[in-house]
Amino acid sequence: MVDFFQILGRLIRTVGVAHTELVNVMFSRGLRSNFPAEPEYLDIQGPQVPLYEPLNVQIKSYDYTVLETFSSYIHKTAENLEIEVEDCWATPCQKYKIQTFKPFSTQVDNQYNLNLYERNVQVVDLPTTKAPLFFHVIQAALPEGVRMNVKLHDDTDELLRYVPDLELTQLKSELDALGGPSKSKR
Amino acid sequence: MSSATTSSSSPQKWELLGAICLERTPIIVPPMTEIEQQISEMIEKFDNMRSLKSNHELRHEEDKKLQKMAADGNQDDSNPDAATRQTAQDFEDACNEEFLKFKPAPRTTAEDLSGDQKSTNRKLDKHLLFVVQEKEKKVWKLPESRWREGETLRETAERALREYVKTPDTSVRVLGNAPWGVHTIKYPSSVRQKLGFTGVKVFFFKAQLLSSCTTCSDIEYNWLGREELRNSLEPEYLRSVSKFLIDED
Repeated sequence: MVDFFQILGRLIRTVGVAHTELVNVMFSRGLRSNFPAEPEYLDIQGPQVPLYEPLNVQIKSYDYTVLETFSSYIHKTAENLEIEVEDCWATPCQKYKIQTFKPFSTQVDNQYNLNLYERNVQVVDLPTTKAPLFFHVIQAALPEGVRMNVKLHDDTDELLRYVPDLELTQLKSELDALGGPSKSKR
Repeated sequence: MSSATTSSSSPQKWELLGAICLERTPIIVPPMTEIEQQISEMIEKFDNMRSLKSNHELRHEEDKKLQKMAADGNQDDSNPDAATRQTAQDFEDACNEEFLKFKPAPRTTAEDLSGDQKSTNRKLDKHLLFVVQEKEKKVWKLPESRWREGETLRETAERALREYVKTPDTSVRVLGNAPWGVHTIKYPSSVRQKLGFTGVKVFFFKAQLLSSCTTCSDIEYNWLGREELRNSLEPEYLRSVSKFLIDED
């Protein structure tokens, strides 16, 4: 019973999953651990088709309304194709300052501030037979101004999500300057 | 390679062909339909009504207040460079001016107007399919070649592509190792006995064109949109092919 609620909570936290879709997903995926009507030995052989490592569908755009709707579209498409979406997160945006100069001088003509927003949808246990179909469908539905990139999950992608705590790093560097933490036992 | 037995006692033998379905994916987004247009306008209106004031609008109101104060005679001496600061209205006007100067590329190209079916630079918002004409019977079909022992069907399809397209120059992304569709032609019984095969099965592999295409010389080819495909391909063949093509109006 506890597992049921945990999985339910995890699915609710992901983007754009309506309640009815949740119920359909639970029953169609047939989570064997929660529905003991299906015996465990059916899964012993393992997957019949090779599965991919966790893949990140990374979409970037300057317009975040379009980006968010598209990321929820990717999520829904994956759910409809019975592909497990592990996580769907947003990376902090990259801010660009673009300056155009007047001809033959260093006087600033115009200045533009652009934000490049990013969303990631992580799919796990993607069968290699379904993968081309999934990516083809998503690519056909790409909206204007959105760049899509599919890559294997990297640990550096995880690190990018965390905003560095400047105060903490400053205190740590101060501590290092003073000679490191005290080594005496308490 | 023979398929399973059906009603006949001897196993059926099929000729196997691998064909490549090379598509040039759309470059621009298709224009909105009327309903989509109306809905997007309505959503924009709602968003505008519900939204809070942006920095630009706040600045505009501040400027108006300052102007009013200056007009009434209460000069705000604590802010000497307020007068030289660019007002929000000026900024907006400058932005609009620059926007009008920008001319986006046209949606219809010269090849669209001339109807040149050999170029990939037309129908930028649609998929274009690479079809070739068979030399003997003048039948339009997707590039295909016969399966050989020891190679996978995908390799057959790629070999078919190389016969018609110079592959180092043209980069192509084949989608997956499994075929996307199949077309079966059953031979009449007289032909069956003569050739020894029950019929032909053509397995289609989808591919996407990544660069510009350089075709081999002396082949008749066309890059066709969906409607033109309906007019060129044979009906049965078209039915098998359109099962795995992305729907388009």
